[in-house]
Amino acid sequence: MTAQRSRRDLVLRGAALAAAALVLGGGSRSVEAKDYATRREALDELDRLAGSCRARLERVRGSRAAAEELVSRFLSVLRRHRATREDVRRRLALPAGVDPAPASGDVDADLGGLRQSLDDLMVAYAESLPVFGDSHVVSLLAVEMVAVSKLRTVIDLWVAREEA
Amino acid sequence: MTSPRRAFIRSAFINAGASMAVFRFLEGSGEALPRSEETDIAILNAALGLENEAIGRYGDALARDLVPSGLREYAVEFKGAHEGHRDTQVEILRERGVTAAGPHNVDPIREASAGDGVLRRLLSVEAAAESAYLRLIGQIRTNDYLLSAGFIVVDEARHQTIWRRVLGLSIY
Repeated sequence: MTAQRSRRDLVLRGAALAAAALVLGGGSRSVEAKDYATRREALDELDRLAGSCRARLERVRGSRAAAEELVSRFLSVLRRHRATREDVRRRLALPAGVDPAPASGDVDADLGGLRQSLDDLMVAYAESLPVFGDSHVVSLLAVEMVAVSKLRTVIDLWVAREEA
Repeated sequence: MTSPRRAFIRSAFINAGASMAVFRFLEGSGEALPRSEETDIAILNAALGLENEAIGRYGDALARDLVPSGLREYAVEFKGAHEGHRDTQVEILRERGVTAAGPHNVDPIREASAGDGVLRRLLSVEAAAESAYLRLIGQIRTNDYLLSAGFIVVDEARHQTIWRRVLGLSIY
């Protein structure tokens, strides 16, 4: 087995682990993994996916008054993460990121959609870790990946409660 | 006084005979680990000890019917996830030509009846596992293990979040 093949198998196994957890948790994901070619590509993708989460959160806030406190906290977490990614870009001598900030009109207020967006962001964090090759950056981004996992779980529990 | 989280990690390392250099690093009293194949294997063995300890604690709680009714499904799911984490890391060790240690004896949970005390024990298992992986992940050298560790730690975070919600504790 080649090193590349071996790595791919492990990627798929890791994704399968997470996918199994999501099946139990009510989510779904195809068992595929992405390789990032450069650190900049990975950071750009994280910015893009986080922007999508922010847009969905704004839509949820607009449609559910009771969600105000939760949405504010989530947005605050995502803002801190964006600042961290900018710090990482500076550390790695990369150009500043471009805030994609998609218009919230492009997305709906569906909680399942928000859960999927947070899931996509969490997976992108996990898949991007190998490209950085810097212990400090990996540790920083792993902490933020875990925070996104927690946000995703809160939404997952909310979806389950509404479906019950 | 030793926190339940530290007690869990100490118990796992002692029971599994895992690397004391890794243990000291986790406790904040050791030096940074060199990024090397040997470090990866030491981390894998340590993580395996943590997973076996978690599997043992969940197994004990389930066998003695200590998980409150209505939450048993979560405990079964989380035990299964830890078994998946164990199997992944056993396989990574095997691919490096290392035979993984088998499960070790795990001290039984102190509580004698189902309730919040047991849930707090299980929460401490997840919190300890998450903090250990987060402390170690930057020390991992190889991409395949780094990627798997990433997927494992988001699982631990999910478990921890659910137990915190059940216990009415804050998430952030």
